[in-house]
Amino acid sequence: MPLFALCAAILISISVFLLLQENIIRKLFGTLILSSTLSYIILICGRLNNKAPAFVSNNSHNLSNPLPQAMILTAIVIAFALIAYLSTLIRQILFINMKNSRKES
Amino acid sequence: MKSVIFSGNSQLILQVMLIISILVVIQGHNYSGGGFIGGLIAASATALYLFAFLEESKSIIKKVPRVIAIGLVLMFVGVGSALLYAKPVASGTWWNFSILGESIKLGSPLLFDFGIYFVVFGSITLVMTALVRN
Amino acid sequence: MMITPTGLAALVLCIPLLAIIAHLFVKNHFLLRQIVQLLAITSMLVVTISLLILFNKPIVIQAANWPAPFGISFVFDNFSRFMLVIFSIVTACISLYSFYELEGQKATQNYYLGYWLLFLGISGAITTGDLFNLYVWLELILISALLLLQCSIRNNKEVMFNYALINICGTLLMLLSIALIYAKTGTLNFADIARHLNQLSNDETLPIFLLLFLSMSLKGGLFPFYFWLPTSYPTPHISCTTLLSSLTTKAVMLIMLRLICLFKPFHTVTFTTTLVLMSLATMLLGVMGAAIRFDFRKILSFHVVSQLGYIALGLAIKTPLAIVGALYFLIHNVFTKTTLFMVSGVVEKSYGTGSLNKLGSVATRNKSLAIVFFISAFSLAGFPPFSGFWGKYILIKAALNQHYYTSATLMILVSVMTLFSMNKIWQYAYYRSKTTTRRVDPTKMGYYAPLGIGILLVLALFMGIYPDSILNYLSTIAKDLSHPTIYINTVLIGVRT
Repeated sequence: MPLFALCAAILISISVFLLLQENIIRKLFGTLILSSTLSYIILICGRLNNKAPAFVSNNSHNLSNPLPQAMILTAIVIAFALIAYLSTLIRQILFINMKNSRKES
Repeated sequence: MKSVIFSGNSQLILQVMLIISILVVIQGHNYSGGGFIGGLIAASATALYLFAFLEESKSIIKKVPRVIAIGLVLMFVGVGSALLYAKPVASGTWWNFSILGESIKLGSPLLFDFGIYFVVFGSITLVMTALVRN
Repeated sequence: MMITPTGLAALVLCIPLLAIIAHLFVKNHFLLRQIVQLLAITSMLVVTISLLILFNKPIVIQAANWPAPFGISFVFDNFSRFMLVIFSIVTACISLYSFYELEGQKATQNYYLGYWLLFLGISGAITTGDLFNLYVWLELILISALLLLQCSIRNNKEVMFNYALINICGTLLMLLSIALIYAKTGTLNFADIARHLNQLSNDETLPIFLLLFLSMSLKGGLFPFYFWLPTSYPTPHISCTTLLSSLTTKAVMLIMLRLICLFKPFHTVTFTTTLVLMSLATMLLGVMGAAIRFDFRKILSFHVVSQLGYIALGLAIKTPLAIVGALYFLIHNVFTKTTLFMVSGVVEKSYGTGSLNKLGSVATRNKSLAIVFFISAFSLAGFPPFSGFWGKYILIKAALNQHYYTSATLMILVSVMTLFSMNKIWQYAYYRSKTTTRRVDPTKMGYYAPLGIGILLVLALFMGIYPDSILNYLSTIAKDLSHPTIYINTVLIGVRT
C-alpha cells in the first residue's frame, strides 16, 4: 500500500511541476498526467484485491467493487473531453501568435 | 498525398469497424463494451476515412452536429420513457417483440447506449475535424 | 399517464435537455431560436414555480429506483426548489436580454446551447445528493461556461485558456478529495457520508474536507483563487457574463452551504476561522480591485468577487440568521448584479465604449437607463429602501450576535467602498457633461431588453420594500438546513442505521 501511495505522490509532483511551467503545451501535459493520476488514486481508494469482476461472471459471491470503475470511466470521459478541448484551444492560440509574429516581422 | 492503397483500404476498414462498433454496443449490456467504446471505434474508423477522402467529405462534416442531436434524442427517450410508466427517471423499461417467431427483448437501456454511441461518435468526429482543419 | 411529484421534478432536468436538442436543430434561424427559447423558458418557469407551490414536502428522486445510498438521489427540498425558481426567473430575463444583444450576430449561434447546458448543470448540481454526481455536474457547468466564452471571445484566447486550466485543476482537486472521502467513509451519498462522519473523529477527516472546500472555493472564486474571475468576465458578450456571474459562482456557493451544514468537519473552529479569513480577504480585495479600475464592466466584475465574500461570511457564521442573510444577499445580488451588467451592456452597445474616461452625460440622454442604474447601484451599496440594505443588515446582525465584531466593521467599510466605486461610475459615465462621445444607434432598444431589465428591477425593488415576503420562506429553509438530520432522514428513508 505505501508503494501505491508513493507512486501517486511522484505522479502528482510531476504533474504539478509541469503545470507550473510557462509553456502552454507543458501545462496541457500536466493536466493529462494529473487526470490519469486521479483515476489511479480512485482505483486505490476503492480497495485493491483479487476478486472476480462484478457483473461479468455469474457467481454472485466474492465480487470486486464495481463503483471505482464506474467513477474512473466517468472521470476519464470528462478528462478526455476537456483535454481535447484544451488541445484545440492551444492550437488556436499558437496559430494566432504565429499570425501576429508574422505581421510584426 | 493521395494513395490508392490507403483510400481503398479505408473504405473496407470503415465498413468492418462500423459493424464491429454496433456489435460492441449491443453486447455492452451484459458483457464488456458499451456505447462509449462503440462510439470511439466508429469515430476512429470515420477518422481514417476522412483522412483518405478529405476533399470529398467536407459536405458530410457539416452534418455531424445532427448526429449529436439524434444521439441526444435517443438518450432522452431512453431516460424519459420511464416517466410514461410513472417510474423514477432512468428506470429500465423493457418491451418484448416477436419477429419471425424469435422473441426479442428490447429495452430503454439499449436506446440510451445507442444515444451515447451517436453523441460520442459525433463529438469525436467534430473534435478531429476541428484539429485537422487549415 | 399521471403526473407524479417525482415526474414533475424530473422535468426540471428534462426540459433543458429537450431545449438543447431543439436548439441543435434550429441553429441557423434566429426567429426559430427565439421561439424555442421562449417556449423553453416559459415551461421551465411553470415547472419550477409549480414545484414550489404545489408541494410542501421534499421530493426525492432515486434515479432508476436504486435505494438511496447505492443509487444517485436528487433532492428537491424547499432550499433547492426555491433556488431553482430564482435561477429560472433570472435566466428567463437574461434570455430576453440576449434577444436584444445577439440579434444579427452570426458567431453566437452556439449561445443557447451553452445557456441550456449551463442551466442543466446548475439544476443538477443544486439538487443532486451524491458527491461524485456533483463533480460531474460541476464539470458540465465548466464545459458550458467554456462554450459560452468560446462563442463570444474572438481574439483573446489566453483568457479562455486560463479560465479552462484553473477550473480544470479545481475540479481535479475536487475529484481527489472525493476519492479520499470515498476511501474514508465508503459511500458517496451526502446523507450517508454525514451519517458515517458521526462515527469518525474530526482530526482524521478535516484535511480531506479542507481539500474539498479549497477546490470548491477555487470554483466559487474565493480569496486566494479569485484572480481568474475578474479577468474573464469583462471580455465576452453581456448575455454570457450575466449567465456566468449569476449562475456559476452562486451555485457553487449554494452547494457549499449545503455541504457545510451537513458535514461535521465543517463545524470545527479551524474551518470556521479559515472561511472567515478567506471571506474577509475576498470582500476587501474585490472592492479594492474595483476602486482602481476605470471600466464599467471591470468594476462590476470585481464587485462580483467582493460580494461572494459576503455570502461566504454568512456561510462561515452558520447560525440560522446568518444563513437567511447569506441567501437573501445571494438572491439580491443575483437580481441587482444582473441588472447592472445589462445596463452596462446597453450603455456599451449604444455608445460604443465602456471606458469611464470616454463616457459622459448618459443621464441626460437616457433618463430611464440612469434611473435603473441609480436604483441598482445604491441597492448594491446597501442603501435603506433597497434590497441590498436588508441583506447586509441581517448579515451584520448575525455577525454581531456571534461576536464577530471585526467582520461586522469590515462589512460596513466594504459597503462604503462599494458606494465609492458606484459613485465613480455615476459621476463619470452619467452625471459628467461630456458631449464628445460617439453614439452608435440612438434609442433602438426594442422591447426585449427593457422587459428583461424591468422584471429584475421590479423584483429587486419588491424584495427591498417588502422583505418579509421572502424572509419568512428563507427562515424555514435556514431552519431545515441547520438541522442536518432532516436532510439525512429525507434521503435515507427506510434504510437501516
